[in-house]
Amino acid sequence: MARIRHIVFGVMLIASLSVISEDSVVFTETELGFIQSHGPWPPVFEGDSSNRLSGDPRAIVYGARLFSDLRLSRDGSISCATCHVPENNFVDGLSLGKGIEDGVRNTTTTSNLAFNRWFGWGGDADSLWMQNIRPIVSRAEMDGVQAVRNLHESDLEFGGWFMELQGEAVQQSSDEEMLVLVGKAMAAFLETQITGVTSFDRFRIALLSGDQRQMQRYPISAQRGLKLFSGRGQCSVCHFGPNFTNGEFAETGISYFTSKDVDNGRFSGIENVKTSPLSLLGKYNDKPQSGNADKTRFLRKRHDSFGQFRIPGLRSVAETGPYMHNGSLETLHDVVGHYSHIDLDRLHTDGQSILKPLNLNTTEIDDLVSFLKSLSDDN
Amino acid sequence: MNLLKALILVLVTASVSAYANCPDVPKDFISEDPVGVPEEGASEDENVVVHYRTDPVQIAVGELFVMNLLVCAGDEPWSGTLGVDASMPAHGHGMNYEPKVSANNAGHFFAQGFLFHMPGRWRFEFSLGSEAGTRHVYSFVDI
Ligand code: HEC
Ligand code: HEC
Repeated sequence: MARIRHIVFGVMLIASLSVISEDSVVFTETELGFIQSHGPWPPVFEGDSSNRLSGDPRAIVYGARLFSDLRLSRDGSISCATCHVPENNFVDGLSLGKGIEDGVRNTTTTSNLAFNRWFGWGGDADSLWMQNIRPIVSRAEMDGVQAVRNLHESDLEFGGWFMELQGEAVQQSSDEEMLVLVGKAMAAFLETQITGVTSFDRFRIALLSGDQRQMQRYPISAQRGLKLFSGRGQCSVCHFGPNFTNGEFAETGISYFTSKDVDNGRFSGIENVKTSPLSLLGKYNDKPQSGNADKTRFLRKRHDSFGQFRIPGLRSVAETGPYMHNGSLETLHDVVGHYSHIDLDRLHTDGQSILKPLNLNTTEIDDLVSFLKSLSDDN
Repeated sequence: MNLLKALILVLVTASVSAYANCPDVPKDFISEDPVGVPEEGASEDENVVVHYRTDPVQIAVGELFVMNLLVCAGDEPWSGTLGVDASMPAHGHGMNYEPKVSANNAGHFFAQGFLFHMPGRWRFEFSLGSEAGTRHVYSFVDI
């Protein structure tokens, strides 16, 4: 009798499981652990201790104005917002950034940077304000050091902001001091640019709390994609945490040859951050005693960093193509296809054991893309 | 009965006094022995034990952490050198950060500059250097 009851119960269980599996996916413990890491969103941001202007409302307004002012470039033709277009998720939609000259890297979005450990594809900067200085100085991008000085000398409003936040006029400041202040003000502005809550975030909360009804609002294809992302695909290992990046660097078999040369990615990034007077180890760090420079101090020089690039965060990724450091992949389908058929012989670093050709079928590719699309703010 | 008590007392005293000469091993430290065959001539280090505690104790992915250590060779504090590193054996990669170890008195060490950038199984590698050569002690943590 007891046995029959067991069998009947077993049949019922199987029947009910198969009903559930039509409109919801079952996740393993490991997958659930990764999914849990992908939130809550947005994480708490406690301010940037290296930047005394972080969170300062005057600096945020001033920084926003600087960001979209064409007068920051040598010939008055380019602002930060020319490449980081605010109405377009802070990207330009091009494969490679185009400033005064053609660039060699894809323009990253300037959203969600408050949570970064390193900045730029090679992690050439260890603070947001340090990263903001690079395009002004770069000949190929804005070549605007003198232009920034002229702007502050000729425009009373900008001169006034500078005076107020620096405690001295731009005429009294060296180029480096001027650029640091401008970089810090723009950092105060960019820190406030955080993408919104997405349908993925709502699903994550529902899943973790067992709210079946809310879970069903999330497309089944995105659920299957999430299972692949956090499970067999191992994507979550690198694209970890609330912003879908563990903040470090990896090689994924994308060519590091450029039209001119090679882009050795993280290798130069480490070199730059270890030697630049603008890094957190230098005198412009506003609170070195807090230990905020430890990541730079203990950063290891390694040969296998050659050809590694930063693991990009994936929030709003559907809106920020083309993809990869060199913009060589046009669509999310292309990116997923790349991972599906990844050529391990092209990887020369130790990361091979995480990435394997996934040999996804077309439904699985669509599922992953549908999941990636659910990382965009749906309002 | 009394005999049993006495025996327990002896055992307890013995285990405490094993630490007494390499003092202050706090209870919440993790202790690890060297693995593998001791290298030739290393016999005097045979009872070397690495005691450590990370701070914070619960390591979080992507957060820098530090480590306090006490190294004992038998009853004596370790007088040789200590290096500490960590890696993820399953992935074949180490840390992108290079910890620095400073020696304090009587076998106490402090190491800083650790960052585990992926979840999973990590392995601490302690290198104990002395005139007899270098010996390795390993300890696994899952995060
Ligand atoms: C010519 C196009 C262009 C202009 C103009 C430009 N950028 Fe960028 N931006 C890029 C590119 C390309 C990258 C990636 C650079 C790299 O990896 O080295 C980038 C990266 C960044 C990053 C790093 C984002 C991350 O994910 O780490 C920040 C911050 C940034 N830019 C801020 C600015 C600011 C502030 C200005 C104006 C002063 C500016 N950019 C002007 C193209 C541009
Ligand atoms: C070993 C770490 C690692 C793993 C695993 C990994 N990625 Fe990536 N991902 C990266 C790196 C590094 C880049 C940038 C590569 C470059 O630009 O050369 C990247 C880029 C991307 C991009 C482009 C984002 C942009 O803004 O350009 C997407 C989308 C993406 N990955 C999705 C995935 C998916 C889906 C998976 C699982 C199938 C996955 N990744 C697995 C490290 C990883």
